[in-house]
Amino acid sequence: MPKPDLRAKLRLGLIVFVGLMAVEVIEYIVGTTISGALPYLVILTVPGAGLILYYYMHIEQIRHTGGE
Amino acid sequence: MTILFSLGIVRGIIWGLASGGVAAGIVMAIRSGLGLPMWSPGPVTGVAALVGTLGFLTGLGAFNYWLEWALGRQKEEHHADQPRWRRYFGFDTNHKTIAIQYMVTSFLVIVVAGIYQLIDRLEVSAPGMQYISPGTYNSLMSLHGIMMLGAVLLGVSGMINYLVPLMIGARDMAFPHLNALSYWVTPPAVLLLLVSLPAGGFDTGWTAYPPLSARAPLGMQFMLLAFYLVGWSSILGSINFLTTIFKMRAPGMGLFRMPIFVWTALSTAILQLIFTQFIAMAFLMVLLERLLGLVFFAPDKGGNVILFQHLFWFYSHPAVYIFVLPGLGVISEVLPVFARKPLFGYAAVALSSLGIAGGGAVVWGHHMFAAGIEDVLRVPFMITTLLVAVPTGVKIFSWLATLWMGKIRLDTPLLFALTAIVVFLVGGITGVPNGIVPTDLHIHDTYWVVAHFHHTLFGGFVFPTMAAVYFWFPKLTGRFLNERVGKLHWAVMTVGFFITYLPMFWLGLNGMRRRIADYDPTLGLGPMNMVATIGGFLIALAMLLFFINLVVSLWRGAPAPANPWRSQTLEWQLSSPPPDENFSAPPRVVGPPYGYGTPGSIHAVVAPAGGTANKGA
Amino acid sequence: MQHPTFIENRLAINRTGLWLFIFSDAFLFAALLASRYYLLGVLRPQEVNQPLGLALSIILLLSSLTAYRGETAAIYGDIRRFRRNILFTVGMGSLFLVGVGVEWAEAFHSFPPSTAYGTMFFTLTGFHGFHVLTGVLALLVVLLPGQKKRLAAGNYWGVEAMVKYWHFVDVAWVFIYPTLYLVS
Ligand SMILES: [Cu+2]
Repeated sequence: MPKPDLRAKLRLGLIVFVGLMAVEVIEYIVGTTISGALPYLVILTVPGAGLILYYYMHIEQIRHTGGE
Repeated sequence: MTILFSLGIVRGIIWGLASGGVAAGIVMAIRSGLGLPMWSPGPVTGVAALVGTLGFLTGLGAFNYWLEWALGRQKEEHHADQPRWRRYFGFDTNHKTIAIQYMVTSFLVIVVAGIYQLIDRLEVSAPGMQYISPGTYNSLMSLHGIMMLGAVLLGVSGMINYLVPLMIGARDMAFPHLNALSYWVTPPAVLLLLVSLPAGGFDTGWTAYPPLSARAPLGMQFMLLAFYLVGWSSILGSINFLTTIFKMRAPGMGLFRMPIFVWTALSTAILQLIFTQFIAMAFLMVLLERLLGLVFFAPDKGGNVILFQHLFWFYSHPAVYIFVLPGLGVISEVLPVFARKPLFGYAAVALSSLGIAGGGAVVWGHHMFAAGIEDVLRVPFMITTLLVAVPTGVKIFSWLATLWMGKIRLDTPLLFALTAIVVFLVGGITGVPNGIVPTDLHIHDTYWVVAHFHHTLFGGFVFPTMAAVYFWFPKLTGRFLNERVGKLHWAVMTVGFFITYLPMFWLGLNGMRRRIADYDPTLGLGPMNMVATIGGFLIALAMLLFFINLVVSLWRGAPAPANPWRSQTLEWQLSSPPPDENFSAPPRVVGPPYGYGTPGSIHAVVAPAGGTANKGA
Repeated sequence: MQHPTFIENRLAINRTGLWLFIFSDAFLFAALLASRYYLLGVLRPQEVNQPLGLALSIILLLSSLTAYRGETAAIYGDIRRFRRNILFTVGMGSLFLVGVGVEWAEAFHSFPPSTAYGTMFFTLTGFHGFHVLTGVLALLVVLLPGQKKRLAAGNYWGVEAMVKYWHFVDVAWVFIYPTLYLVS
């Protein structure tokens, strides 16, 4: 069983989580302090969702398994 | 008796009634516990209907497979020892069984919805109120619309279910249990639609616009719930169709070797997958407004009725293409076989389906020119609407070019396909004034619109479906439909259709409004309305001939060989009817699907059960 | 003569089906989000409970992390780590539902369902909450004892499917959270 590989993947998950937390907290600060926050929030939300889709949901599988 | 109880549908009905009753009791108990009046028709029947549907599915055994999976005890299937007829009354996962279940259900709904409209046609055949009340007229008219659309969705699913796995060389759908579930959601929906009339009906038309739909009688709620269920059936079905087309094609079956019908099924499924969510949500919002007092569409509390129209038409315009694309695919299948020529411009026709689907996604506003949408949106929607004519035109010209110089055999399937082309063309051309803002403002909500969309739906669904039934009936049953009755059916139906709907263009231009039970006698609209009614009864007569032909031919039709029409596509290389597992080994696809007239052209090589490979004709 | 047999890549088929379902389901939320902006623009009442909103987001993100860890562990055959993480995810999901309950109780007073914002708020959180509930149930299914044999045999499709669905519920929240709590 390739244990080190598992470690690396778990660490990657943690890094992604930290990134997501950062996005969310910045969103919170922007949303509660700036008025007219919508454009900034759009800019922040898309990479947030992208992180989950790419690293957690492995969206690239769609191409690898020939989802097309 | 035991035979009766071993039928899935009987167990399902018992479970459904019991669980629906229990749910109604619980709701009433909760209501009295909260100090509310115990009986309130909306919440009690709504919850009972939803829980009853789940109960029906549970009793039927729809969830057994997943339950077993969750518990980790995957069982082997064993339904082969059942007598054949019993499969149709239970949870059977074979795509051919499910297809026939869909088709039969669809035809039953068409009969009921047709009778509803015949009653209404009698009422408006002369000015004044003769037979029914205006309220009943409205309910029958509304139910006619929504039930016909449900029936079309069922029919489309039926055709796709039967043909797609066979045409791409698969043994079944990608998810057979999900497939069966998609079908079995619809019988409860049909029941709800039937209950709608005795529950008070509704007077909104099939579009269910609020604020009227938020206040209409209880029948409205049954209709909304029913279509919600049909919507989910449609979504789950589309997941199956897409996965099957993407992942289960036989070796060599590249995308550009697929029969055109598969391309249209693909486009239809994409539309169903995406857009059905919007009408489901719109109808659910109306339900929430009715039951829980939310205010999506209440202008006095910050809601907006136009929101409903956007959500509704965002689905319901693409839905038109869901209805007609498979029918157009059928025409593309039938023409090359009976003209003995390759389909003209295969790749363009294949891609035109996707083009129609993509273009049709951005035109929904043309239904709202008269509704008070933002002025800036009108012209863009007008332009996109007119652009959809381009990919549609590709199909029409391809059909004409396919027929050109062909060795044409005028059998019943081709006759219906030809009528379909003419009718669909008229439907398309008469749609242009609806899509152009200045003319639409005048003909909006008149019989012009009624005539237009009946042309598109008859040309895109009804006539192609008839062609499909006459074409593939030998494959389904191993027997031919009676050709002479078939030609009579075709003649009566074609004549009846034009007698019904051509006068409606005139009526619309002369001020006959949609959805009214009565009109001013001084307008002089009476005679043309009478003509349209006579045509309606001719269509009914044609349908009667059709059903008689179906039943009698099933009994004693002439036996059909495996490939009576000398077609090259895969389904015809199997026995009639095809074996349970379709193919004993994966067929090898080696050429284009419509190589007619080219000596030695082969689409696929199919191995017969236990023999050597033989060449597909 | 030897016939070639049907070789179906069951995992690829299942994945395709699940992605299509998720894609379709995303449009359910798209319809609701679009309705919110259509009805209200970026209007947002002052009474929205900001700390609770942030807390709910963090809870859900944390549950996604553990769901990821659980799935990865299952793939590498570390069953105990898998169970621990999925159990934690279920706990976080339930906590999220409790939080939404608290939020609803407040919202009934500050912006009841009979106002436009209340209507959108209750509908969006309600539909999302329903997804969370089904996600929790789905994750509980892969913890059932019957699933052990399957995992031991290296068949982790069940885990992958439920975890993907769970992540999707999180993605939906990533869009819902700013839409309800932060836009202006
Ligand atoms: Cu339209």
